Amino acid sequence: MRRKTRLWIVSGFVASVLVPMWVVALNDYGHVEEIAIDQSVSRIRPLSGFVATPNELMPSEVGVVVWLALFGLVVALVATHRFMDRLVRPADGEASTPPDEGTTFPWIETEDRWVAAYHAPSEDVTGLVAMGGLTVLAIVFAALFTSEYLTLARTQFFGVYLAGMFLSLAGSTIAYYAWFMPHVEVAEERSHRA
Amino acid sequence: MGRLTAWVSERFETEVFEPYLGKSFPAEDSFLLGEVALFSFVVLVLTGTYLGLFYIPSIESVTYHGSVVRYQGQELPGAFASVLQLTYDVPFGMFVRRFHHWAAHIFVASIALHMLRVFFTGAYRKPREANWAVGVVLAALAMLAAYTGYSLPFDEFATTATSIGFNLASSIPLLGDFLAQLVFGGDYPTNTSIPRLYFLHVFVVPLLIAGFIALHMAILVHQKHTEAAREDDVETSRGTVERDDGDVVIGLPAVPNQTAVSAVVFFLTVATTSLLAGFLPVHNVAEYGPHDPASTPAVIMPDWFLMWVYGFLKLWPTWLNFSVAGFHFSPEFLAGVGLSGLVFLAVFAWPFVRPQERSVHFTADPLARPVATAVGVAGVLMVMIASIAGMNNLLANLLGVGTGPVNTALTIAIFVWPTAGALATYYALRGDDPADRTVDERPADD
Repeated sequence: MRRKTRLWIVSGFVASVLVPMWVVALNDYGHVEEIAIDQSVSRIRPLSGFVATPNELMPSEVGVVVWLALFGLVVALVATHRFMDRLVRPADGEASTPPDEGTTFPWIETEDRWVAAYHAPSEDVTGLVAMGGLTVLAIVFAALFTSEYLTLARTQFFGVYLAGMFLSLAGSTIAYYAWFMPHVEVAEERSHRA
Repeated sequence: MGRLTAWVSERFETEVFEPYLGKSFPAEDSFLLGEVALFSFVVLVLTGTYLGLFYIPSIESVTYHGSVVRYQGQELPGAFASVLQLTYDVPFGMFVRRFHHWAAHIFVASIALHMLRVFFTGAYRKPREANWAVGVVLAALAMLAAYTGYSLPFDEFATTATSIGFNLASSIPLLGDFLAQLVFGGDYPTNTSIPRLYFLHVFVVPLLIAGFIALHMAILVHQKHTEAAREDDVETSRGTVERDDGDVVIGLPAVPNQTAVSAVVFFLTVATTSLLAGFLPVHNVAEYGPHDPASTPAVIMPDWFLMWVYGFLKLWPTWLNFSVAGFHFSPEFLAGVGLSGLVFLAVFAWPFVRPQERSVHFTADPLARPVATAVGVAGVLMVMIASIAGMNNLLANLLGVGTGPVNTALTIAIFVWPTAGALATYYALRGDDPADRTVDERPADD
């Protein structure tokens, strides 16, 4: 039996229960009204936002949402990880330059550990532009986040600003890794104790 | 950079850490799931600390003067009132509360997915059996942390759902009273239940989780990572490392390359949680209302990751209980503690049930491991069917029938479908077709 067929059989059995489970979990149990807030007591407006969202999720619905979010996160991690590890470094077969003594960290090469691959960073100007832009973006989101805290404290806006800030920081780190960090792989003896 | 590290090294004698700073991390995508769990725990500690500044672990009545119209001027339990105050009257209180909740769910889900990855790729095999056991304990602790935190707002929905756990704990012969006393203060809910659950939630369980994470990491550092099968021999500065040479691990150095990857994992994890917290409510206590001993919520259900335990309770026939030597074995104990405990025990003991003589350092292709993959598929199917049983009222509502026929169908399904899934998986995978194999299967050893 071919590999693909095997995969389909296993996936089919898992999906045969996963799909009904999620359909049941998302079964609507009734409408929930938004909580009424007395604005004379507090000036903040945590419920205000720009998108209509549910007022409450049942634990079963939370289960579906969190798994979808986790799968989304995994897809994002895989994409960025592959970008960082493969797309930006030179293609296999291209010459790699071994580091001169003292140009890399002292702990990279020890008695039990040695360099398996080394690619000098491209230090391309694209990386500088990307890092600069993303750093500015992170600062803007941080400022918006702070100003929201000092004013209406709307929950949806907090979510967008904080996500924007951390996505910018992630992008900035990816850019630094891809264009300015030497790509080093090390081989290490399993038998040594550290 | 060289001068900076020399400066630090000279003053703090950091060379003792150098063997660890260069530690090799194989650059495998799925290996990052453990980091998602780790960073979720960090987020939980930080957000929990913020929430702890406002939370009052008491059910003594106080007069509510906050901005939620429905409860203004009412006498409410202190815990419930403090959570209302925190959610609606403290700048970013609602956001941090949601953030804490979603991070808790991601923490549990990422541990589960991490364990599935380790199981199906056989990464638990010798010499890593002990670390698998530590991981199972961590999964149980993560669920306990979520459970102990669930009822803290003292709202009607959570208090009712949490009472299922109290009933399970107190149903254990011999130990039941002691456990009920230890975790709930003897009865639930009482004046002592909330402070006790709060203490467990913010101190004891997180400390245990932190300790077991440290142990998990220490074992990992000592034994070093598993590695996906290499596609070819690897040329290094000290000669060729053969593709099947498990005595050498190849990957990114911990500092700086893997640290950068980990930073990205952290940023993306927090960004995902931020979006969830910003847009989706979770556990809306204002909607549920404070605990009311005179009423029962229309729908009762535990958190999704305990739904399968609840499903066992719903499917277990009420007539199936007995007494031995003066001890009564109730359906709550047999289904909720016994059956669920057996599932945990099976997961915990699996590496010791199928021990291996030689150490294995490469992960395996799940499609090349018929027995383990078949068992894993059966386990996953069983847990999911039990979870559907936990939501039998929702399913009955969806189908427009009573819960009786639904329970009958699910009872049959929980025996038949995992068995069918296991047999089909086993027979599909047992045939050998080397032309299909894209990775080295020698370590599969199944």
